[in-house]
Amino acid sequence: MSLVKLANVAAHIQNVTRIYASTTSIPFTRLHLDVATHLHKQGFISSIQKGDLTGPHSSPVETTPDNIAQTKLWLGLKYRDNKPVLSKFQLISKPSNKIHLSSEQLKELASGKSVRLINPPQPNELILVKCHKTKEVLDLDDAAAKDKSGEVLCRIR
Amino acid sequence: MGKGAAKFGYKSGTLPEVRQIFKNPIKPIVRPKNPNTGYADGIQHPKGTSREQPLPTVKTVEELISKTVQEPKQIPDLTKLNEIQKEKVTKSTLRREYYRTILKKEESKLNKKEESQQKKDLKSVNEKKSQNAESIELTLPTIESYLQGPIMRQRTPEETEILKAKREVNRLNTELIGKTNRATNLLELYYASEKFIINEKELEEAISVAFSSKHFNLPDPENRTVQHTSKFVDSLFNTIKGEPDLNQIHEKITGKADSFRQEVEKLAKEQHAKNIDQELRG
Repeated sequence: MSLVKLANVAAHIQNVTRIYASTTSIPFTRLHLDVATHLHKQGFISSIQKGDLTGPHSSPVETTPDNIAQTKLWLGLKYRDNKPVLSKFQLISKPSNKIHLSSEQLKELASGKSVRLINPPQPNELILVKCHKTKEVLDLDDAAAKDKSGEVLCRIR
Repeated sequence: MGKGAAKFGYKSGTLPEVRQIFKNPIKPIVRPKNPNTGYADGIQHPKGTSREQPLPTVKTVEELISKTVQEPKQIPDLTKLNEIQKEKVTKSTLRREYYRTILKKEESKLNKKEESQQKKDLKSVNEKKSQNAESIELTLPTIESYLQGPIMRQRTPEETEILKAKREVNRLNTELIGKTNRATNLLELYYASEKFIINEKELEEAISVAFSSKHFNLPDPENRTVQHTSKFVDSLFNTIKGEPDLNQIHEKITGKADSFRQEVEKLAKEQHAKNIDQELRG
């Protein structure tokens, strides 16, 4: 189910960047938070804020089972030269075709070789990997450097 | 653009511009000093001007009243005046009175406004202080803390109990509504069963009545109104087609209805006795 939700988020972010929205909200889950953190680190988005359906919270609000469904992550989107910084957000592993790569395969992919029909990352591209066992989300280079194996989640450029 | 009313969007007229009643401040103004404006130390200011911006002159309400609506020095004796003079004197007295009241009213209005503004300012300052408190800022959850720990606080035992109780109340309420509806339906069926044909004799009677009529029964428009009225009466007196409803039956069984009727009768008797007493005394 998480991959389906991630696919929805990916499509949503692509859509909102096409209409030049300044901010957008996505559901507040651990996977989305992980992905959003990587997007922020790599400079694809300008900010991450916790909020509700109406907008980011002005003062800190505790997340409880009563308000978790309404809690949202508000992302600040970036544009440069009248073009969105984040223009493409696609899943690699799909619910019907999950792609798990070993540490050697991840290293091959990171070094610029095509693995299992996955094209190697371009210079402006970010590929996210969900590690086995720890379930943490890392970018491809980090995962290869840490000798991890995992599921290749998505590519962003 | 048309003429006259068309000029003002087909409105018959426009309201006059809102003017301030007090042209001067009624209280001394406190102007906080702005370090970024004015003359710096050691720099002279032009001749004939003031170094600081002068404050506007204050005219208190009492001052205004004493200066503008002074009482006449000689109060005329109304008994010695003719009608026109009398009217003039009373009118000017009224005018003075109205002007005095409006000034006082405006003063109290401004005071109230100022007080509410002060309260608002104080509240916003306190809110800002509480938001920017160092203890809050330093203990705010970070993204890392969310990713390492739980992203949501679980319910405390008290909260769980409250939720459980709420759900129980909701369930019981829904059950009660369902049971009441079922009972009402049953009662309606019971009342309707009076007209049911349950034996051969009744069936034969019904058939003979149906076929004995020479004309077909056409829908009677008056009948409809009767139906509507009966519905109206039912909703007004809480009855089902003129028969007692569930609540009335319940009151009858528990004896509430009887006790209520007895009380009403007692009160009516007392009232009747009082009325007779009054008539006899009168």
